[in-house]
Amino acid sequence: MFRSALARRLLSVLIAVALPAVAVAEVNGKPLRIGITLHPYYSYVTNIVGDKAEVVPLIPAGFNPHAYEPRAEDIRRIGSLDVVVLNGIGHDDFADRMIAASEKPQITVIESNTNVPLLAATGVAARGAGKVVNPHTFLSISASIAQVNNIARELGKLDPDNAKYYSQNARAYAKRLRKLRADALAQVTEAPGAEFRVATIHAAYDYLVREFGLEVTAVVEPAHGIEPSPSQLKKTIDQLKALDVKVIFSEMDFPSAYVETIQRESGVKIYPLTHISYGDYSKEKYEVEMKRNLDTVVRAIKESKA
Amino acid sequence: MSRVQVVRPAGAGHETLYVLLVSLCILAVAAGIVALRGERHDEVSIEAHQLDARRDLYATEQGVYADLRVAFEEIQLRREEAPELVEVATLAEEGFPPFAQDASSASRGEHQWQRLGQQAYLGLSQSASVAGSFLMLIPTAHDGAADIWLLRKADATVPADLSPAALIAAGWQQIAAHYDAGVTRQHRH
Repeated sequence: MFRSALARRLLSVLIAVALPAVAVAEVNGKPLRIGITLHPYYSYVTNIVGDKAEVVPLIPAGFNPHAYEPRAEDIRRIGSLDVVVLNGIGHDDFADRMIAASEKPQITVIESNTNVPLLAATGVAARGAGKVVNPHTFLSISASIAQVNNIARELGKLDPDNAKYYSQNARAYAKRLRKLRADALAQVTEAPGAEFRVATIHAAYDYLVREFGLEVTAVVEPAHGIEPSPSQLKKTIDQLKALDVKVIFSEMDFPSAYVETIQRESGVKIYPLTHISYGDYSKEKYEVEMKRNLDTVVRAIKESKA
Repeated sequence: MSRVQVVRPAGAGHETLYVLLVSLCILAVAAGIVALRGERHDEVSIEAHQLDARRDLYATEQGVYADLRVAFEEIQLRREEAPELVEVATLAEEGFPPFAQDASSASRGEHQWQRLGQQAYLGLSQSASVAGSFLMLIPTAHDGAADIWLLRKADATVPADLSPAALIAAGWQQIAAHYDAGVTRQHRH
């Protein structure tokens, strides 16, 4: 009895001595905890890091990133992260304030759009004498691949042991994204001509339609999420008629009665696209929703020929 | 005896003058404060032979330019495996825009791509009014940056000399892109 009690005590002393050593090993070899702000970035980063790092959304699923105000528990979470991946050009401006208020104001930040050719903002966002850029680079396959490459490169610098793994994953992911675009374009047998004019409800899809060699002629929405007044609506409809717009890409996530009024009054066909900013975060989300967007644009081009 | 009293106007003219003077003073003070305390945000200026990627390109050209930058990264990665520059045909087969021929390339000027030795890729536009011809110079260093030039001329041909001076003389313009992180951000990193 005495001997077993002694053995137990000895064992507990041994464990107490050994535990900190184990804990240190875990800290050093610990996988990176990577913060992200928007849904597409969750998909990008999870596809790059596989199971070698943990991806943590800064804002929980279900919040609209356009109207998000930081909450205390979300700010606290930043203290547990190693790095934050940002859009950095206007779609996640809230992140700066959160990081500044967190336990780690100097946390490493990856600017995903560093080497991405940016477009000027259109519509109401175009304030500031053309200095404001369109932040929706994630709605283009090419700009997404550029961002995935950037993120993988920067993560590789932070985690050199897995740098090769990250860059391989990034290339494989880029290949899949490229295929999405190629598959969509393959369905367009005849390229849309200059008469195929496009308007959008939200000034988000310039990068996406650029992929098809198209340009957005007009942006209909006065401000994000705000319904236009009847007189604004009339002006918009007149404008659409004057510009001879053939197709409007509307917002799947903001169904609005005024969109139907526009369709009824101007006779322009409306196709909904998604912003990929809502719902749960998932690894596949970007590919699934982007495929739907590309298919919608293809459908719009095809039906305009019919 | 009648006295005619002349009642002068209360001085609307003077009042207007005073209001005008006060507003001018306020404007002057405000302008002074702005001039003294305002922060200068100098625009990144571009050279005479350059084009701004965001403002000076057509949508079609912006598309080709963005795709070229992505393709450039792949070209550089492949040089680490094999020093030779990858063939245009290989890039096209693997679906790399702008080298792949599809509906997008058709509506962006139908560029005919070719590799110029181990130095560059050239895409001659078949429709100069839609998009200019592109030239992407590949640096000798594996980690160098892409150097992309544009020529908006209907009868563009293969440039004999790829030096910047010769390209400028031949009418080529270099595309300059700058990154403005945080135009809308309050706090910079």
